[in-house]
Amino acid sequence: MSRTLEHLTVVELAGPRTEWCGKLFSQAGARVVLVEPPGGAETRRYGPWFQGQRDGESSLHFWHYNTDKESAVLDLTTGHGREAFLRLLAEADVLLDGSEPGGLEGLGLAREAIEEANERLVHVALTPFGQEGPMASWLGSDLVHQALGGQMMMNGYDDMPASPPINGQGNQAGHMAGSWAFIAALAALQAGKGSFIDLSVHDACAGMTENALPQFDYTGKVVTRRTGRHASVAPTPAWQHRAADGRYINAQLVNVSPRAWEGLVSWLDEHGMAEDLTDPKYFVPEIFREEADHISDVIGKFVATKTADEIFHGAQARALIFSAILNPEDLLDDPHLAARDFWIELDHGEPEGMLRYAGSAFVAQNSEVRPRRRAPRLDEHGASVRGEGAGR
Amino acid sequence: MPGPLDGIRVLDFTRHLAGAGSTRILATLGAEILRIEWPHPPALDFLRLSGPHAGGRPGMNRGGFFAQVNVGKKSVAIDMSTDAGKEIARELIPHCDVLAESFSPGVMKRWGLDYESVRAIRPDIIYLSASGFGQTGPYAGYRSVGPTAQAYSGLTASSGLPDREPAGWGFSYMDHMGAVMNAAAILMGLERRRARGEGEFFDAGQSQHGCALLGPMLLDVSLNGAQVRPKGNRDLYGNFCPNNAYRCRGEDSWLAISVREPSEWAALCKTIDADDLAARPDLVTLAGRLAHEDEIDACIAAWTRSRDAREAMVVLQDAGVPAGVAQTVEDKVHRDPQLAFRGLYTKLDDPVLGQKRYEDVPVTMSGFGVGVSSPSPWLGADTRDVLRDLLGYPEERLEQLKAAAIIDDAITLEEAEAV
Repeated sequence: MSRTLEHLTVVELAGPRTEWCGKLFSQAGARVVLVEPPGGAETRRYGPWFQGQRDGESSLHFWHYNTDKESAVLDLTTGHGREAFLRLLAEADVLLDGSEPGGLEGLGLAREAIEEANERLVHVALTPFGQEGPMASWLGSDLVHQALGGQMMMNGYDDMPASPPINGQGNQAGHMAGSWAFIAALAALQAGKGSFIDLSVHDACAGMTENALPQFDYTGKVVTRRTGRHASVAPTPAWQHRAADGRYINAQLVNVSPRAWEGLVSWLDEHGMAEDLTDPKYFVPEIFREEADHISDVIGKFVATKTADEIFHGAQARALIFSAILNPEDLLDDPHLAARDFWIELDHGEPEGMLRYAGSAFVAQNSEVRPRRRAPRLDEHGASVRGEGAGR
Repeated sequence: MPGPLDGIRVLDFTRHLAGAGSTRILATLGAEILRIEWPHPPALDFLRLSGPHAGGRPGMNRGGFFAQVNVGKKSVAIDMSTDAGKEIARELIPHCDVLAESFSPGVMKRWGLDYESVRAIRPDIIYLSASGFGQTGPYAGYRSVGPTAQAYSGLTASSGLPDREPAGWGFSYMDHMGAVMNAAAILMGLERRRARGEGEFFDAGQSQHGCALLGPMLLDVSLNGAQVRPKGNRDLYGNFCPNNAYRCRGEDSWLAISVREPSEWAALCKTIDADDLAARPDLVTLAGRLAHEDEIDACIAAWTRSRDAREAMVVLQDAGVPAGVAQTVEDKVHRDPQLAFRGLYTKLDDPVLGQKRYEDVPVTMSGFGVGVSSPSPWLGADTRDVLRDLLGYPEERLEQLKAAAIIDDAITLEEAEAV
């Protein structure tokens, strides 16, 4: 089957900020040439490591974000390297550039020189805070961006005095910014003309905090963090409960339909654990809200008698939006992901052989969006990319 | 200046943030979005009923969160439970490049508007079905909102303090990222259509997108057999150290600091007057610092505790150390000079809502006008214009359809306030 973006060529200057956007292109079949400095991309030195092997070819961080890409070492501090880079750009549709503001200019690769090489190029520049402005030269990290962006102050514990705000894990600042870079680049391609896209990671994070801005703008009130549930202006009932097997359940009780409520109460009642929830008074929204803590307590006691899986599937069968709080390793044998072919195998050759990877979450009908090839070894495609031996 | 998606028209059956957020993104890039909606289920977007409300009074056109998610769109009110309503929707299809929907699996098929039916009318349509768990698989019928997807995907369990229950995410992160991924899918489809002239169908599951966003944790569990457990704010894989949130002067005030490079470490030690730490050769390397993380954290915390978080951030950044205050929304709106410089919060005026702030796009694009430019539509605000201009319905037909309660509109402020 054809791959969704197989007609595109992308040049990615290797770096932590561009790698997710590059992967979104490469898993859709675009040819993505990863331009690495001598010594390799910084993220080749990021953990986790493949079975404890700490070397430049064993970073699982690098493996994850660089599937399907080609690697070519170009030393942009030399004229030779810059010429090869501009030759690459001449044939490319998109440049992913995570260098700091003015970084490429300092190497003699000003925006004008890049435009001259290819006036139809979509040049996406991802910087921590944007190209200009009072904080443009500041440094970021996943933690720093989720702090400044407002994510952290919405995550944490309200039942643990003086506990810190909590960073969401999984490199999410990079995902928020990289995904937007992908969107902006594809949008520019629709117009068929080149563009310089100035993306600020800080803006991308700051613009994703759900209802916090409307709450503040309409009421003047600031939401504060609550254990395992939405940050809010006023206290809310717990919706995270511990199951009999020690795992937790997310038992959110927002917008519960009368049918779902009936299903829940009769389920509890079958086990003699409904207490007074069988009282029809709970269909009155005001009473439901007033008694929310009590309802949460009754559900918590019931959850404690069942496994997380029993609650998850039992609740969903009753039209409740509950889920087991799965650990990442639980996904490996999740039947739903298996049915949707989420996990794939990529060939690493000898000695590793076929290794299990996450595929992509994009399921298309007429084309395919999923990785097919492991991440490149350093300069694996360098000779062909630089045109060595090709008479150029 | 037109946006890059100028000329792209979307027939929009999405709701809530995970669905309607995706067409919001397309709107900020210049696409024309025709929201098909109705004041009663199933075509009602419950977000229209959610708070906060303008003036504290509920109403279909008074919801601040709905307004945030639906800036720059048009609203076409059609009763999709009627045959005549479904026929109007079918007539709109030839005029649209994209159809996006986020109902429970099966609703669009019941209306005769599933992908196969729609592409029979418009072969190159880009069609997105966005749901909680996707259209296929054993959990296809399961219900999901942001916290459900976060719990299922492992995003919740991996975030928190060690040996405590998960802190998870205190908002619907996967509604945002579901919206972003849905917009990305639509754009991939448009890009493929540009190259090959063919349509595409995407079956998007918010929960599956959550799994794909676990990042390097995915390979750690699949190839190392790792059991991923939260480590508070420390870096899960030791790529940064120190890497933590440190308490500052005042109530619930915190500063995040991340260090990787030796130069950053030296600058940090100098700024916080930690000559003893700076002098230790074993702490120059990341591995050396990771072996003494408690000691380093205590030293930094002792320095920040008596300091104003914002002042400490500026001093550290000026010295070359990545540092950022854990900001509230109030901080971002009133005390962040960079967001102000880039204009992240755009104010728009609406007669019902008043002047409010809207989160704008994180990009500028040379040669294009992008961003938030007009407020969210009143329910049915554009029904007449769209049916007249695109389908050529004469005025009398519009009156008949309205009298038969097959379409609705809101033209005057009085009408907009009434629902």
